[in-house]
Amino acid sequence: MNFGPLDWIVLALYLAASISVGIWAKRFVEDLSGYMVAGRRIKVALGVATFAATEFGTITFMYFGELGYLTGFSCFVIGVLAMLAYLVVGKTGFIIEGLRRHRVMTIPEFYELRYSRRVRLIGGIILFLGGVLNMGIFLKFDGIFLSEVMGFGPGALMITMTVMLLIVIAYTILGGMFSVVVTDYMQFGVLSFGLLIATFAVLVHVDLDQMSAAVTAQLGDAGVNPLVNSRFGWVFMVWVFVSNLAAAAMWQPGISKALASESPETAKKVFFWTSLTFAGRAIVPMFLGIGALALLGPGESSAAALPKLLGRIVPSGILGLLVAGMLAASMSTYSAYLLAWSSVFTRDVLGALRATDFSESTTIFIARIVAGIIGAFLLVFGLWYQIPDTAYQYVFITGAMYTAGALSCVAAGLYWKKANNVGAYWGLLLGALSPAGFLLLEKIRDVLPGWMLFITDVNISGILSFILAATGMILGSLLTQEVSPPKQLIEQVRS
Amino acid sequence: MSPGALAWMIVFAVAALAFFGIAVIVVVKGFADLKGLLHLTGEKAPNDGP
Repeated sequence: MNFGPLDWIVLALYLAASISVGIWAKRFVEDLSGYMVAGRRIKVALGVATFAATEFGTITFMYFGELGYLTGFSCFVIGVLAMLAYLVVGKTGFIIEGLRRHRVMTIPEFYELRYSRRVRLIGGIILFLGGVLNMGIFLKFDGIFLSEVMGFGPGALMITMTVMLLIVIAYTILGGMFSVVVTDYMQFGVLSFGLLIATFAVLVHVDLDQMSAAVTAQLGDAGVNPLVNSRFGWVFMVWVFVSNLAAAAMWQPGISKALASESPETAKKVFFWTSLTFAGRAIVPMFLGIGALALLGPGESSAAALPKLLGRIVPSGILGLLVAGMLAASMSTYSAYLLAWSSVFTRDVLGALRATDFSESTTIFIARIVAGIIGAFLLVFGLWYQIPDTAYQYVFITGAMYTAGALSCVAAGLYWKKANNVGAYWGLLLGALSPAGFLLLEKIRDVLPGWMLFITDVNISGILSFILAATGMILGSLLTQEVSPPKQLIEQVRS
Repeated sequence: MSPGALAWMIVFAVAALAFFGIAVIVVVKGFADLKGLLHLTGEKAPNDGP
């Protein structure tokens, strides 16, 4: 390993700068909208930086690198589909424009506007569970990255990850969205530079013909054609496109950046420009994963291959910048996720259990405590949970628990007058059913009867969640129009 | 190099250029946005009730 004293100095300077800037930004929090959506004053360039930083963590780098190592070039299709999905949302304003116009801070808040407070509660619980489970493996992958690149043992690793998490929790709890935005801006610059270093390092050590030859030797046609690769195929591609469309319009940590924009038009522009980074966000780490296949061969642990390669080929001094870049990526993701999930739990679960909302100061106080509790959960869960299938598929199936139902509820709520409470309940619950079934039943796959095995296929389970959620919303609404008349939205035109 | 691999290499080059190009623009222009955001925070946003 090349991690030397100079790398430690770079890393220490970066961590000190992050916590100083994050805590300094606390002074700008003036009220609840300041804490949760930065007063809705974010402009396009800053919006793109904070959105892109949120969507790129070390976990992203790791799971896309893992896919490149395992599946060769054929996984590049995921980056293209993700870019197209976000582009559709950015160009059309699908959902995000309507949500921003109604000035909500969280997605479940919209459920109360369009359906009822109880739908908000159910939606808030599902969103919170899906979101925290989704985030649960991040720390583990950060650990693998640092362990391989820096050459740590497991004991030191635990301490490092705890320190990093404490720093993020501290500035997120204190400064809310202001701290998140200010640190995201800084972190986006550092993580982009770190990714550039990694790309150059791989290009210097591996030539393109060598990469192509390694993919052909190990994977044959499945290495370049996603339709013949057993991990992918049409079902997978449809699922990836639909779930990226849902995530683009519906994933709370990302959508909160749109809801923090200064106007609905700015929100669309933020999405459009960020969408253009989405192909690179996936394909660059995948390309580096193929570099690991070419240089290290196929016998490595798939999750550890890319960081192991980087630990070997990036020279001392530069390695500190790379690790700072990846820590920046993780910290920006953690901070946005902690803020999003603590806001949802406080406002949409605890708040929805009461007849009236909490006061602003109480909401901020509770959200800070919840963020701390989520952080503690991440440490415990991340260490013991064994991930089924690839990390990419785990992240998307846990995301589908919430996004499938939310897509049906919010899209129908905004664009279909007949959507009602019953349809919303069915959509939310049926959308969560197959991903939850996958996570539970996959562990006992061997004792399941043959007809139930389809649910343990992550791709089928994922696409099924969207089909069930849409069916539940449509049938539930149409069959109960008289007993549960739809509630219409009151347009809030203020920007 | 196979035609399939070559096609994906081109996709990689375009995607990487877009990512790093936008990163540079956003970091430069975002600084002005950030200064403006922090400058404005003493004031109340228009139409933004508590």
